Amino acid sequence: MNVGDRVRVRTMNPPGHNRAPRYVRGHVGEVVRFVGDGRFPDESAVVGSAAHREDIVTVAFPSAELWGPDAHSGDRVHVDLFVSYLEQP
Amino acid sequence: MAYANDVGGMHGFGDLPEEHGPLFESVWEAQTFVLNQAFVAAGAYTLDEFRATMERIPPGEYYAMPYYERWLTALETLVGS
Amino acid sequence: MSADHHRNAELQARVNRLLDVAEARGVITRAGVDQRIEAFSDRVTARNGAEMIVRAWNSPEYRERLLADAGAAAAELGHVGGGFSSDIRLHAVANSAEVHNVIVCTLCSCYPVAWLGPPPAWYKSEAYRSRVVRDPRGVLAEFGLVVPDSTEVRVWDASAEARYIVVPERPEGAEALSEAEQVALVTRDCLIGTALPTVPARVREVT
Repeated sequence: MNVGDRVRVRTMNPPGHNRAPRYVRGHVGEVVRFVGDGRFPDESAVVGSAAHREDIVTVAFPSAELWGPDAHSGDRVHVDLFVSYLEQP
Repeated sequence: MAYANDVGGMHGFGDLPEEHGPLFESVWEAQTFVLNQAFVAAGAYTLDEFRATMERIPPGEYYAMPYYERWLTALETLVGS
Repeated sequence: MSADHHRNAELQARVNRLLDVAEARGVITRAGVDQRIEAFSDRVTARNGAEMIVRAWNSPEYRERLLADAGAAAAELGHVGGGFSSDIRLHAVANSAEVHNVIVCTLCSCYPVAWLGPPPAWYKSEAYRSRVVRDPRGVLAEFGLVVPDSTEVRVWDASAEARYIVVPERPEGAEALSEAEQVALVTRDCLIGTALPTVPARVREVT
């Protein structure tokens, strides 16, 4: 996953802890930054510091992609997402 | 998911609260804030365990609670009291 | 005793029990808790972030380092962040004529505490967190900040362990001020993105 790639946030609804806000699930954005890695939250919420680590990227979503035509064109919302939350669009 | 914490895009939460006062309204709030940092730093639990515990507060109770009481409730669950 | 006072006393009693647990387990003493709370009124405040911004205004090299690795740039000025969790990293996003940045955490209320101090009540509120991603311009207007149509608004939702700080542009007239005076212009809200630094009119008149 590289800066400039278009990605879609997986449509999902897991019963446990998860750090993909529901307003971006299923939506397409562009990777704009590699953040680093971090403990995978869904797992860390259960097993603590033994959780595996995973890469995190910042994805920029056009506001209209998230909220429809009422959104101000050109504005963007950036969300930091663990790479396993993402798929090819 | 989504739990009560996942509010991005939701309607109905009303106006922004006025804010001219101190960052902590009461001593217990500041103490709760510091205690959480200290327990995480000591490895008692991860921030994800803390957040997940808070998210499991049923939505009705969650929204009715003052902000730092949610923290306090999660702390009590995680470390006992 | 009013209902509020009673409720507060109840909550304080619950925290007192946790303070005992923390001390018994060797996590932190009561004196340690007091010291950290005191730090939020003198050392760990938005002034730290403001000092970083002003240094960036006055040194292009520092600005470059700030935008590349904000945590390291903060440490240069003695503001060592992270602290209680090594995964917490700072990232600076710069305003320009074309872009205005604003930060939020919709899932909880992640905030660059180590560099700005604890967050204000409105930042933690569901009202701010729910709306600023959907209608950033409306929220900013309530703060008295009207962003021109031609300027792109970038909202940064801190959903992993990155923390964000906004680098506002230096307002006209500020170049004539000392660094300390410039620091005073950069309020906490400027670092969140809900305000812009402004130079008081009487200063502008003499420059």
